[in-house]
Amino acid sequence: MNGWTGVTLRINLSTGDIKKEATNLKDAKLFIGARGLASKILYDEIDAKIDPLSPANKLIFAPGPLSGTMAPSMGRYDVVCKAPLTNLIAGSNSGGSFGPEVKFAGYDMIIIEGAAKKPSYIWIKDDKVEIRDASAVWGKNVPDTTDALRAETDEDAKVACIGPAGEKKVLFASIMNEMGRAAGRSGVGAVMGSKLLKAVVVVGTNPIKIADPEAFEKAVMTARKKITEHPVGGTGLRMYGTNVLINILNSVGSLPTRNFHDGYFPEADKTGGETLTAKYVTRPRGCFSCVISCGRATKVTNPKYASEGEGPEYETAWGFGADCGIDDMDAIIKANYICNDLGIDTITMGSTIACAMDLYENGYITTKDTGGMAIPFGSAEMMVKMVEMTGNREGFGDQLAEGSYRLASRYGHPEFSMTAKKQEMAAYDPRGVQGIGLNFATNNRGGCHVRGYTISPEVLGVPFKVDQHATEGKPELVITFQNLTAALDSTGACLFTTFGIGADDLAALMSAVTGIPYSVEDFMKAGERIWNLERLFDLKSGITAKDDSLPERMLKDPIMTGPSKGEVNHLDKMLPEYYKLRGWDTKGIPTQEKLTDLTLA
Amino acid sequence: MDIKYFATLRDITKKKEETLPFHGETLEELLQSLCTKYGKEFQKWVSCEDGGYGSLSVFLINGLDYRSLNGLKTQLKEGDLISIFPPIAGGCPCENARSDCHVSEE
Repeated sequence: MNGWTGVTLRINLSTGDIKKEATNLKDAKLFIGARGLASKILYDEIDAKIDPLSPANKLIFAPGPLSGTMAPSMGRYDVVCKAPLTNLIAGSNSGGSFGPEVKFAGYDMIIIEGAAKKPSYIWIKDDKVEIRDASAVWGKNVPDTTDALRAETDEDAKVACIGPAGEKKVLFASIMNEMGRAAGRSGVGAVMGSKLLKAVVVVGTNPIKIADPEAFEKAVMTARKKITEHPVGGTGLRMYGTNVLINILNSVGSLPTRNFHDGYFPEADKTGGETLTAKYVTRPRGCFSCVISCGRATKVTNPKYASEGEGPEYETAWGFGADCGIDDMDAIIKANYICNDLGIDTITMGSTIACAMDLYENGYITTKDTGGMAIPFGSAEMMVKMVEMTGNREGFGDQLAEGSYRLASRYGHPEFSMTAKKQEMAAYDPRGVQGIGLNFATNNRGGCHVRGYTISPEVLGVPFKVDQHATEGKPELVITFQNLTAALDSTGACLFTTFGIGADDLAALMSAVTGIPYSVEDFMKAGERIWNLERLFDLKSGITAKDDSLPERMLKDPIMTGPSKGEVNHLDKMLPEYYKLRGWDTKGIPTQEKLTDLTLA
Repeated sequence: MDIKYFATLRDITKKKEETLPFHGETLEELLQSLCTKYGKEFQKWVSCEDGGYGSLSVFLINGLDYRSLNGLKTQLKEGDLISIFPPIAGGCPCENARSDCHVSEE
């Protein structure tokens, strides 16, 4: 096969069975790979109502057909399973080099089933696959685990592993690869921990076959040029990283502040990309085949928090910053490093701490509950401490480890949790930006920004400008972005390539690599198909149209200060049209006609 | 008027913000005077090759995008806060701009 390797690896940790199966080409054509293809496998093979932390869940590591080729900035992979945080389908996307290495070893997917009886890791070298004892590294943090397992296998091995947070089943534990790259959201790390699987270690030496090398080279050079000539992908992200967004979102009054009470944080600049570049960045970092290099290698010299590592990204600097009312950048960066070391999603972590601070300030949580810690908004030291405690499930951290929805519910006030379908929203205030609010409310994995990133047109003006405060045209816009991203994710491409290329460039790359002609229509239809499939899984898991919503605060409490003062989100004006344009009924269920059209019936 | 600079513009102007006296100018006129003041490096980030302003950067007036006001012809007022973001932080590059985004034609 071209692009795809044609082999899917299936490992059962309960029985020790290791099987190599033929990748289903029919499904690969329809669902592309990575997110799409893995979601199809999960949908077909598990009952959507199972306990995500039971051995019945499956954990799928899934690169795409473009991963490992010279397609620029297209070496990503997804981790797909049922999510512990939300009970929805999880698809966590990560960069680095792990995805391409899986392809080089010869596999389109690694499907992990059952659960081991003792801590284990999987060691893959091309067609040699072993389940090995991980008791020597169980309990170790991510960097130490990575180093120890490379020493035990191959110094060039790529390692995807969990830290103590995944082992202890923190509901938003991440899977880390190359130490600083995260399959972050929804608790995929906890699923790995529930299987007593510490790591997947891979070395691969095979090339990936390209159907039409000449056409591929042409498509690669075109894409490369478009990405590097675009100011955002070509210059901005390398110079300032994603954190450049802090000042933009704040300047339009849509930077959620103090657990989304407000949308404007006067001290925001202290936590932004300009400050990060000026004081902390040692050099940019890029993933496999990347021409952008948005990653930040950083260092904190303040003795109180002295350390070095990768990041923080925008959502992280926001989560530990404005959302907690904190402007201490040293503390924010330290919190990010702890999340990387212990394997924790930074967005849910920041938002959960912000929720705890909010409950504390309103008297619903007291120092009795926190073990003596005073945790008002702005308490930077306590914030850092809480991250450490959460990753180890110590003291109050054990409660934080459940995420903000369960935390706030425990204290009788679920309305303090800034979540959609139990996953925390990211760093964009839906009251100030209408379309991203609709995306949060309808997203298949809950409060997710990346899978429908309408911030691009609504705030940045890329590829064109729409009014952030308007509701007209937003349902169509959100649907287009959701569909396109689903298809893009499934190829192995990085979302940041879209600051330069579009569906036509991706279709051209896919056609040249696989030898299967993909038109723009085919590509977008695949995206729509994948979106609807995920929706079907979520409906089976038990959600209804009632869950396509935002926290009351977003609908009823206006932003208090700044340029978007007085705004709320008008979801009721957008949701009915969203269902209609998607070809769903008024209950948000895809119609038979729509499913037949998408070959899902 | 208060002018705030972000990203590369801070390196070029050597400032995060400055206060300028208001002389009745429109946004376009303000940009022209800033390009004169800070030279070619500054101009590169805020104007198009064909001479029009705006298609590259994001300009906010009191937090509102200029394209939802009167575009480049927006009349400024005493006390306005103008935030200028070069396209590395957002904004629409000339070649890829859709025709209804290309404000220099207005």
